[in-house]
Amino acid sequence: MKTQKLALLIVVIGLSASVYGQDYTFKVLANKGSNEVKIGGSWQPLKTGASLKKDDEIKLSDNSYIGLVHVSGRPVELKKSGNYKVSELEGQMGTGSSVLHKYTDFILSSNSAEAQKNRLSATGAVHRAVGGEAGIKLMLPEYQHSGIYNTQAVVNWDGSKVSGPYVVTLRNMFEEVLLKTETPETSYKIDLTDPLLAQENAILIEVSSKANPKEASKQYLIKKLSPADRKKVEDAFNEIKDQVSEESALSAYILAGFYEQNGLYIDAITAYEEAVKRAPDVPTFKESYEEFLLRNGLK
Amino acid sequence: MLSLPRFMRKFLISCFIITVLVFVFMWGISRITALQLFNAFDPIAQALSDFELTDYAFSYLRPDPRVDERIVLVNIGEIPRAGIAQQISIINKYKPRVIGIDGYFNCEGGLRDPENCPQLLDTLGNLLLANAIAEAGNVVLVSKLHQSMKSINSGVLDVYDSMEYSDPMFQEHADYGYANLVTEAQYQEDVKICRSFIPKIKVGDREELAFSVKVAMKYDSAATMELLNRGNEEEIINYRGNIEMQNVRIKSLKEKDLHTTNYPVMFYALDVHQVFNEEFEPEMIKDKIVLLGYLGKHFGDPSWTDKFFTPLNKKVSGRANPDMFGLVVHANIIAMILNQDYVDELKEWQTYAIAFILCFLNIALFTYINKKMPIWFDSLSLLIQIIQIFLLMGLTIWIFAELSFKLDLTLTLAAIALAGPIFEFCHNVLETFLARVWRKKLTRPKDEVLTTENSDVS
Repeated sequence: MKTQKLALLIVVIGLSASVYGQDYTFKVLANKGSNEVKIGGSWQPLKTGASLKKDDEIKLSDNSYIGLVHVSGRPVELKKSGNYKVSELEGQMGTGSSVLHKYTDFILSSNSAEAQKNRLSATGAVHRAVGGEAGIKLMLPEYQHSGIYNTQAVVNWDGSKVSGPYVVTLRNMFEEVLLKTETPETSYKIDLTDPLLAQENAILIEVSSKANPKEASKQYLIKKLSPADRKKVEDAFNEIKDQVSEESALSAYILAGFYEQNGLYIDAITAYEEAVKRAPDVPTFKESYEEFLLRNGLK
Repeated sequence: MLSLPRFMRKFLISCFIITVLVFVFMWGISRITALQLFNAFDPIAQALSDFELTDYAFSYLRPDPRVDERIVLVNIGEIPRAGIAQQISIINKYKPRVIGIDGYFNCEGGLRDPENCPQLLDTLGNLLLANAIAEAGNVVLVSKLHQSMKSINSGVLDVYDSMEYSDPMFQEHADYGYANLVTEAQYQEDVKICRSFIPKIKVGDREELAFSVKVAMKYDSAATMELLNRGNEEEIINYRGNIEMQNVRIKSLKEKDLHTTNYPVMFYALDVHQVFNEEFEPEMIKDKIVLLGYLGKHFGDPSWTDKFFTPLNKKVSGRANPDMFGLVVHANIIAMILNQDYVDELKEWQTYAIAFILCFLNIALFTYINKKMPIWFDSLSLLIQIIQIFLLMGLTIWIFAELSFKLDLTLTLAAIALAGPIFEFCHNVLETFLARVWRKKLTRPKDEVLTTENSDVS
């Protein structure tokens, strides 16, 4: 009797485990754009592979896409921006087309509205974006790699299209100007320990032509790392600390690789600049710097 | 032995001879068209040469395929080798069972100078990539089958005697599988229509496995051995679906279905930046097959690079956009192997046997109609042929959609189409001609026949 009860218990546990194993309605197969999911009461960025439950809600932003797989294994796409409740999406899944329906649809498809198309939808022309950020392109990464570990950042830009002098403007996240300075160079060093900047966690930088302020770069973000991220980098840095303690070009070069590996492109730029400055006659450092900029789409 | 009445023997022999004539005629036609005499006047045949009836079943009629959650596709876009190394390192943290990389890391054509092979200059990137592959320890890279000049000059087709690999520094810690797929393309950028692949091939004394087979072998060797034990030289790919995202910004177009295929999302897929920023759940990688390759510069990029036409394309013939990146073709093959849902097809002798039997039955029916209802013969025979052709076409599509069995009835359809005209030719022309010859042979010339005019009889 005891054995039977034990067996029954195991079966019950097994069944409930399998039920909980499928404790989702959809999973995210593919995700394009900055989409979000509301879990509980808070909105979070949607990740590929995430499980969505009945109570969750998805927000699809403009020009975005989400591919989902239902627990039954059938895929579903979301293309139109807006909010979608997972429970409603599940309700729309249905049971799929029957074979008879498919055959009927196939035979009649040539007369369907889908088959009737406008004939002037395509043009013989291309869209051209505004000429490379109005002529001034800063060699800084996009928002996702805007974190900085050190306190100094070197910002370079291409001055071939717009000649100097230039105005460098630093703003806080409320777009209030923190610092405005002029320079005839195509490079500017930001010191985050400067009292004007020290209190800010994130800074927006923009460079414009002094002669024509309309000729301006787009705004780039430089963001101090969060304490947790900083700790992670610090721990990793401690492992290579001994190899880069010496103030040489090679140390700066190794550091550049370390920063790049950790996605800290702004620090990597500063390190590469330092390596080139310390050994201006060694072409390897210049070539590697160039490669780095091209590799990461910074140039 | 069964003895048949004389009239029945005559009937069967007559049907048999006409059936043989149909096949002789088809053989003659095939010889003439092989000379390509009419190609310049043959745009329709050229447009339809890529068409197969079963393509309809792939896109429209078969039961909706299910997503294969064991395969994750990762876009390498146009990032350099250091970037791919970083992607591998990130993915490797989450313990995938196999990593397949659908990209060559060598200098094409063996041109190892900085101008033709600038990637040689990226020594740091090369080191990082070699290191990432070694650390992962479960990487399968692609190789390429080639014919040596000697083999090309000898005019041999589809016999490969050399292989192209990535540079030795990447080879050392990786396995290999050839990425060649069966197409009519002359070179990589040519139009590529892919319906099948070759699971294994002999190169010299060695047996090489296809990239997808090698990846599947590392993931589930039992299932992969099932494929190899089938012993087919070529396997039809049972396509499940695609990874296809549109970059449509015009609102009125957003709601339209602009996909080139009907199953646009069938695998997990990560774009370039999503890997670097780790915008994914770790469990989607753990113990899975991760395939790295080109899916456009970014998701939604309408690039045609490494893109194939497949039977999933909504346009089954004529001019169309290619629909599937090579990486997704490999993913489909792997899914087919792991799910063991193969497409079977008739053996060559079976296609001939079916064509012969159906042609014979048609001739027998035509003979009967011609004898019993000669007035109705023309209309009835034409109607029967048309009905049969449509029924067989429908049957081909239905059997493929329902049973994953490719019934190649092209020869049968041609035989049925020719059965009527050849039957009429035999009965109206050949039979009359032979009868006249026969009669001539049996009948004495007029001057040899005794009549009252030429005889002495009075």
